[in-house]
Amino acid sequence: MKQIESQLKNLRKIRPDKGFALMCREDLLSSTVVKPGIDLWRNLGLSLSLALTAMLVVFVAQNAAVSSYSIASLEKFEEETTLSRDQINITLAEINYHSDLASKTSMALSEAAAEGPSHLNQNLLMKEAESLKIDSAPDNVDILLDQVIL
Amino acid sequence: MLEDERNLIIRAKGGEAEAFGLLYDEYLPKIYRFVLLKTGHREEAEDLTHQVFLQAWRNIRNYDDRGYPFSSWLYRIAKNLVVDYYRRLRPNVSLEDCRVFPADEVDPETDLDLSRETEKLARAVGKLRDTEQTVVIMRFVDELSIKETAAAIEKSEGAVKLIQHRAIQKLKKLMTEEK
Repeated sequence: MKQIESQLKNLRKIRPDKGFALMCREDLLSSTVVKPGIDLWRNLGLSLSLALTAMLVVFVAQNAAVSSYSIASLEKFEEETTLSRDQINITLAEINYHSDLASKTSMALSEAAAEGPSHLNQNLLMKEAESLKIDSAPDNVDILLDQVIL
Repeated sequence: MLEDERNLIIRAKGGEAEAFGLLYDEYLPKIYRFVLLKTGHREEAEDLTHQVFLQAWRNIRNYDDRGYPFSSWLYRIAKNLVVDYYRRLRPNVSLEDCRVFPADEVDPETDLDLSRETEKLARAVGKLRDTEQTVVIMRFVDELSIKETAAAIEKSEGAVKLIQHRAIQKLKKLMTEEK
């Protein structure tokens, strides 16, 4: 076991060619590597983009909320206006009714005051009956009615 | 992790190329050795090693020191690149079935300048399973600690000990058979 391990250590003699090592080193160190500064700018750009997007989303969301709120408010306002209009119409109709009633009552009262309760006067009623000159019903009225009905 | 290394990492994360260059100098031999022992081909190993450090340099800001050593992070990149390399070569072969170190293709005269005995051992390592190879190279060639190895292969320390024990037993057997 130890012998194998020590033999394996002999493989450490393997070394790269000096020419290769030098050329590879020069090539590596001259190759472009993303510098932290550039990366910082890239990160900054990314951060700004994200921030702008977030602001845009918030702005749009707020507008959407305001719009929906506005629409709801308008609908509510319209509903309230309709209700008010109906109430006003009802009130106007009531006013008209009461006004008409008041004028008729007033007229009746004026007449009553001027003529007195003449419609209840027995003499007046008799006079009116006489003025109508209603003849007494003929004797054969029952026969005539029966004929009409039958 | 050494305090100097921590500072180098902080500077490299800040984009300082020279700091990363010093980390490269420190870890290049280990990563190259690891990749070469996994592939067995110098040119492939050089290409993959280059890619490992290129990826590390480009992504160093993503490295987060939370108890995981920097070396483990580099080895993990290397391991993944080797896996991708073999998937490209043989996409239908499962990784565990694939002999990552192509022992029969190794020509020690051109690829590995090693003694005959070490060459035999390299071939034996090539016959191990992928995870066993990785653990053996990390633990005994590159001298990573159990913790570093566990972090690099994303397994528990107990699992690393078990894999290591099994790999050494297999190597012992393989070396006896070679004789």
